[in-house]
Amino acid sequence: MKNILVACGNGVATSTMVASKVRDAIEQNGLKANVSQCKLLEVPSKQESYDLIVATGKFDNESVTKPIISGMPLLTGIGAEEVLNKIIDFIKEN
Amino acid sequence: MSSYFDESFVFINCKVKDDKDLISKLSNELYKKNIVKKEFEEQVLKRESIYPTGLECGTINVAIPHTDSEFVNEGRIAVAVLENPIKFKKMDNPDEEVEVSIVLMLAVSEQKAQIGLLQQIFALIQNQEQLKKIINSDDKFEVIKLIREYIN
Repeated sequence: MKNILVACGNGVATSTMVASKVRDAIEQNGLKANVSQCKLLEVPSKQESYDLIVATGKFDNESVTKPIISGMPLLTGIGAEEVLNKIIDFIKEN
Repeated sequence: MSSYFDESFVFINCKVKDDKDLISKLSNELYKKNIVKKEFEEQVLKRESIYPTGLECGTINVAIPHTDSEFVNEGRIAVAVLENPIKFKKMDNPDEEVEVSIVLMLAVSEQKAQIGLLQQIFALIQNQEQLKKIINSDDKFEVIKLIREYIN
């Protein structure tokens, strides 16, 4: 099963909103994946156990080797559908 | 009146130099009424420099500066509708800036209340028509009413 890490500044606020939208989309598509949350600062050290990072902020990108998708559209609504499709495609393809 | 909004913390046709000036001004108003602790201003400025809160929403953009609940005594949202937009760094890319017309500074006293509040805020900022009504209003009470259609 795919493991998705959702990150935001403090790991509890915007990441919770994004994670719930990602979980809903996964379920609606009849798929299964683990969705966890953390602080942006923790991404470099936690990335090893995850397949995909969804973040609502920016972190030290050079140290992150896993694919990253911006979760911001899921908050602002602009391009939200596209982001969810990307995540769903990632789960299906990999 | 909802506990989050108080007309003494709503500023329309607001004129400020920049984002820091605005955060200081709003923090000071909240501190004067004992809504936040002395350190609130410094903590919001610090957080904004690391994790900025400028949100690109379309034509009318919003920023939501805030900090941890430990610096807050009572939950309130200070509102500034700016006469001229000011630049905030973007939440998803701090290397870029966005011209912000409406600032909602969140003083949240319970961390767990923040998620529900953010959900309501993000619902509001997705409605450009509502944001347009807010920036065009010249009545504080109308601004509060328009915001409260989304945030309570």
